[in-house]
Amino acid sequence: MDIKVLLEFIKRIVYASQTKEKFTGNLVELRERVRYDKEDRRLLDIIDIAMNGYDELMELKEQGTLDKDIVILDTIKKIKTKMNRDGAN
Amino acid sequence: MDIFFDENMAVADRTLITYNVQSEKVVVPAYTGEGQKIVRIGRYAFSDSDIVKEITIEPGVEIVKYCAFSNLPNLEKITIPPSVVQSYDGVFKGDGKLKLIKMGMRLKDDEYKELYSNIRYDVNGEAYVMANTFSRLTGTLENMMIDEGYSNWNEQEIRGGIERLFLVGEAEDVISGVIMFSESDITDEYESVKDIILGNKTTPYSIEADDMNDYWLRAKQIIAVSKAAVIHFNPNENKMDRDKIIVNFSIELAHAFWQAVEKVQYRGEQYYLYSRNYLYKKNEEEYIKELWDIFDEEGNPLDDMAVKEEIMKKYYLLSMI
Repeated sequence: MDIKVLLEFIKRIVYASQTKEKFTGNLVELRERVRYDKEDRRLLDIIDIAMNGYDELMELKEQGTLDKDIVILDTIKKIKTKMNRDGAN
Repeated sequence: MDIFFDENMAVADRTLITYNVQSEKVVVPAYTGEGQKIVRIGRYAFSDSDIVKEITIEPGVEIVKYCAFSNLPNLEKITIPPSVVQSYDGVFKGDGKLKLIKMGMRLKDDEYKELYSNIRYDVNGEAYVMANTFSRLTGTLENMMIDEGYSNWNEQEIRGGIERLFLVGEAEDVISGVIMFSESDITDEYESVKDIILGNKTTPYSIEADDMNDYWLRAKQIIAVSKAAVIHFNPNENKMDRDKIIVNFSIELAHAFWQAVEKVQYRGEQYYLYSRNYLYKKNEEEYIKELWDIFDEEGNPLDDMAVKEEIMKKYYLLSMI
C-alpha cells in the first residue's frame, strides 16, 4: 500500500461514516491491516493523525473537497500541527 | 496486500474495511468484483446507518469483527452463513429493531449454485462465537436461529428480549455451551424467552436432567425438532412437570428447519405422544416401544393399533424404532 492508496481508503471511510465511532473503528481496522502488511511507519502515522481529525475530515466531505489528495494531505498536516500544539500545552 | 475499491466498499488484506450502506437490503459479499476473497468484516464496517433493514452475509465470510453491524436502528433481519466461524464483541450493538438472526442456514444445492457459483461452500471446522456477540441488543430481537457449526459458545452472548431461540443442527453440542443452559449464568435478562426450539439432530438424550434449570422453566414452551418429531415440552407454570411431557409430532421430517418451524407453527393436524419419565430413559428402543402412546388432538388415547401404526408410518416413527 502506498500513500495514494491510503488516502483513497481514508476518503472511503469518511464518505461512509456518519459517526465518529464508525470513522474511528474503520481506521483502526485499516491500521491493523497495514501493520500486518509491512508495518510502514509513515502510513501508520498518517492513519494515527487521521484518527484525531474526524471533524476536519468531515468538513472536507461537506465542502466537497475530499476527492483531492492534496487537500487531504494538507488537512492531515493541519491535524498534526494541532495535535503537536495540544500536546505541547 | 490485496486492495479493492468500488462505489460502496473498500477492501484491504481480505478485510472489508468500510461499506457505504445505501439501501434497505444489503448483501455482504464474500468476493470482491475482481474475485478477491473477503474473509473478514472489519470493525464498524457496516455500522451506523438508519437505512438498512435486512443484511445477508454471503457464504465464505469467516470473521465478523467488533461492532461490524452495530447501530443499525432499522435492521430487522440478518442471515449469517455457517462459514462465519468467529464473531466479536458488540456485533449487533444498538440494533434496536433486530427481530431475526438466522445463523448458518444451509442453502439448497441448486440455490447455492445459482447464487454462489464461484464460492466454495464449506462448513468444516467448528464455529466460535465470542462473548457478548449478541449482547447489548436493545430488547427487540424476537427470533434467533442457530444452525449446525455453531457449537462453541462463550458466556453471555445472548441477551436482550429474545422470545424464541432456535437451535438447529448439533444441538447437543450447542446446549452444552449456550448460556441459557448454564446454571452459573442465570440472569433476569433471559426472562423474555418464551420458546426454545431445538434442532433436527437433537435426540431425547441431548436433554439431561441437569439442563432442566430455571431457563427451561421460564420458557413458556420448549420445542425440539428431532429427526421425525417435534417434541413439545410444556412447563407447568413455574415448575416443569416431568411426568407430563408432551411429544408433539410434526407433519414431516424436519430437515429444512425453517420449513419445519412454519409447519410447527401453522400445521392443523397434530398428534400427541405422552410419556412418563421420558427424561430418564436412555435406551431409544425402550423409549419408543414401551413408553409412547398416541393421543389425538384432544388428548384422547388412540386404542386402535392399526390407526396407531398408520400414524407411526406416516410420521416416520417406525424408522426410529
